[in-house]
Amino acid sequence: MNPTPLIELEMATKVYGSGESAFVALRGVNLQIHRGEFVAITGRSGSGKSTLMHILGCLDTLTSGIYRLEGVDVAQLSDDHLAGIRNRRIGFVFQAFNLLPHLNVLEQVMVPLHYAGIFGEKAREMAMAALQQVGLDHKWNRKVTQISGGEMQRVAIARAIVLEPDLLLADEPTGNLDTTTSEEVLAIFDKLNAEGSTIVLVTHEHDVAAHAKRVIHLRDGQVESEVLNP
Amino acid sequence: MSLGLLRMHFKEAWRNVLRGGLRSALTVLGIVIGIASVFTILTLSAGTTASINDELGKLGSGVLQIVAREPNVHVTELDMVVLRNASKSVKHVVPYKVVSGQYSYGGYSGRVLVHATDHNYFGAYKIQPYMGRLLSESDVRSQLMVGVIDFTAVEQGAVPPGIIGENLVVNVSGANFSIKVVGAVKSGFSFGGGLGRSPFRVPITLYVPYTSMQKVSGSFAIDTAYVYLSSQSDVENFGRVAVDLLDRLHDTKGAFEASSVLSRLDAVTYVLNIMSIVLALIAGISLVVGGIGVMNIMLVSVTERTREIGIRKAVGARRRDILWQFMMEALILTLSGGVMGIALGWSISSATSKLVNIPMAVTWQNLVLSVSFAFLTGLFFGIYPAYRASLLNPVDALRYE
Repeated sequence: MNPTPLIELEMATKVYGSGESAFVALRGVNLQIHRGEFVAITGRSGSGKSTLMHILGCLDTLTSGIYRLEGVDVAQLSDDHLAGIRNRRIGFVFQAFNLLPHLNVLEQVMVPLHYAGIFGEKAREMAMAALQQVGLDHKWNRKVTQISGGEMQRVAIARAIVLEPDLLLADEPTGNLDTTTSEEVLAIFDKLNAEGSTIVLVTHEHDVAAHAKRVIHLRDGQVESEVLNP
Repeated sequence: MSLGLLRMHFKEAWRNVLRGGLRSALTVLGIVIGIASVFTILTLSAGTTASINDELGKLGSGVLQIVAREPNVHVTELDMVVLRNASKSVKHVVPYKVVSGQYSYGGYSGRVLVHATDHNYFGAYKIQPYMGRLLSESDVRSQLMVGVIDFTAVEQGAVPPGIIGENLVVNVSGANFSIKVVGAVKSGFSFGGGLGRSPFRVPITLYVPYTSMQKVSGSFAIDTAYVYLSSQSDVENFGRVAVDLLDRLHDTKGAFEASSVLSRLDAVTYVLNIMSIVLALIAGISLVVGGIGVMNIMLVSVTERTREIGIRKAVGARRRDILWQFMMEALILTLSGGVMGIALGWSISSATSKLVNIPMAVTWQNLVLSVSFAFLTGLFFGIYPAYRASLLNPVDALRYE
C-alpha cells in the first residue's frame, strides 16, 4: 500500500464570485503528489494553474472538494494554523519575486524565521546557510535594489527553503528572467529536488516543464493530461 | 507575543516611521499639539489647586463655624463665654458679623463690607499687620471707633494710601459713623489680592471691633462664631456639643448649625478639580484630532502596503503578527508625539505661569497621565487600521498592485 500522499486533492473546485458573474477556476480536480516528486503544472493562462497553486499553498480555500496535506483536511484548520503551515511546511517562489521593499538580502531570508520564533544569531546562521545554497551568501548585506533579477529570485528561493519545508511551490519562477538566469534558477530547483525536496512548479514554458519528472496539464480548470518525463 | 517578535516589530515600525519623513512628522505634530495642551492644562490647574489648597488649609484647619440660623436668635456674650469654657481644646471664640454699607473719604466713596469681630480674628487667621496696627483687646473692651482696612482697597484705588490714621465715614442702613483707620492688612486670600487693579467695583473690606459697632448700630447682632480648637479632630465632636449647649441656653431646637471650615473648603477643592478635568477634556479634543490624523495615515499605510502584507502572510505571518506590526507603528507615532508634547507643554506652562503669575506644578501623575493619553490615543486610533490589515486575505493582498 502506498504511503499517505503529501498532497491529495479530491474533486477540488474553486468558484470566484457568485451568480451570473461567477467564474469557475477549478472544476473537480483530483490530484496526488508524493514526497520527493518534482511536478510541473502547465496550461494556458486562465486554465486555473495559479489558482491551484494558491490552494496548494494554503493561501486560498476551496469552494468545494477536499485538500489533504499529509492526510489532514486543511479546511478544518484555523487561520493561525494555516499561517504556521505556510511558515514551516510550505515555501513559495513567485514570478514577481515578491521580496519586501527596504530589507537587505539577509533580512529578507530572516523574515519567515522571525515568524517561526527564531531570532538573533541562530536566525542569522540559518539564513546564511540558505543563501549559501543559492550561492548568494557573499551578497547578504546588499539592498534588494542593488541586485539583478536572477539574484532576486535566488533570494526568494533562499527565503522559501530556509525553514526546510515539506513542499516548495513555484509560480512561473522564471517568467521574469532571461534564458541564462532561468537556467541558473532551474538548476537550483533540480539540486533541491535531488536532495529530497518536493517541488511543484507552475509554468507555461515547455523547456521549464522539462525539468520536472511529471507534467500535469490543465485546461479550463480540469486535468487534461498527465505525462511522465523520461 | 515573544520578546524577539516584539523587538522585530518595533525595529521595522521605527524604520517605517523614519522613512515616512514629512508625513510622519506632520502626523506626530498633531499628537504633539494635543498632548501639549492636555499637559499644560493639567500642570497649571494642578499648580493652582495646590496653592489654593495650601492657602485654605492654613485658614481652615481646626476651625468650627457656628451660625445662628433663626432670624431672632443671636450669639450672645454669654454664649461665647460658655463655649470658651466648654472644652480644654477651645483656644478662641471669635464673634463675627458682616454688614454691607457705604463709605466715603474725601472724594472717594463706594461699598464697604464691615467685618465686626474681635482682636483674636487676626491671630486665628495668622494675618500680620501690613501697615499700622491690628485691632487690640482694649479696642474691643473700650468700644473704640477704630478699624483695620484690607490693603487691597488701596491697591485697587478705592481709597488713597494716606487713609491710615484718617477717619473714614461709614453709612450702615441709614446710620453714619466715623471710623479711624489704624492699620492695614493683606488678606490671607492671595487669589483675591493677586488680581491687582480690578476694573470691577469691588467693595473694600474693613475690620472693626464688634462691641463698637453694636454701640452705634442695631445691625451688628452677632450671627456667627468661629471656635478655634487645638486640632481638626476636635472639630466634629465639639460641633455637636456646642450646638446642644447653645440650644439649651437659648431654649431653642436646631437654631444653630456647626460645620467644619476645612470640610467646606474641601468643596472648593472639589469644584476646582472638576474645573481642571473639564478644561483637560476640552484640551483633549485636540488630542482626538491628532488621533484621527494617526488613524488616517495608518489607513493609507495599510493600503499602500497591501502587497507587503500579502507577502508576509505567504511566508507565515499570523493575523496577530500583522496586527502588531501596524499597532507598533501607530504607538511609535503617538508615543513620540507624547514625549515631545510633554516637552512643549512644559515650556508653555512655565512661560504662562511666569507671564500671568499662575503657579504650575509638574507632578508624576501629570507626566504619567499625559504619556497614558498618548498611548491610549495610539491604541484607540491604531487598532482599526491594524485590524483591517490583519484580516486581509493573502491571495487578494498578493494580487494587489
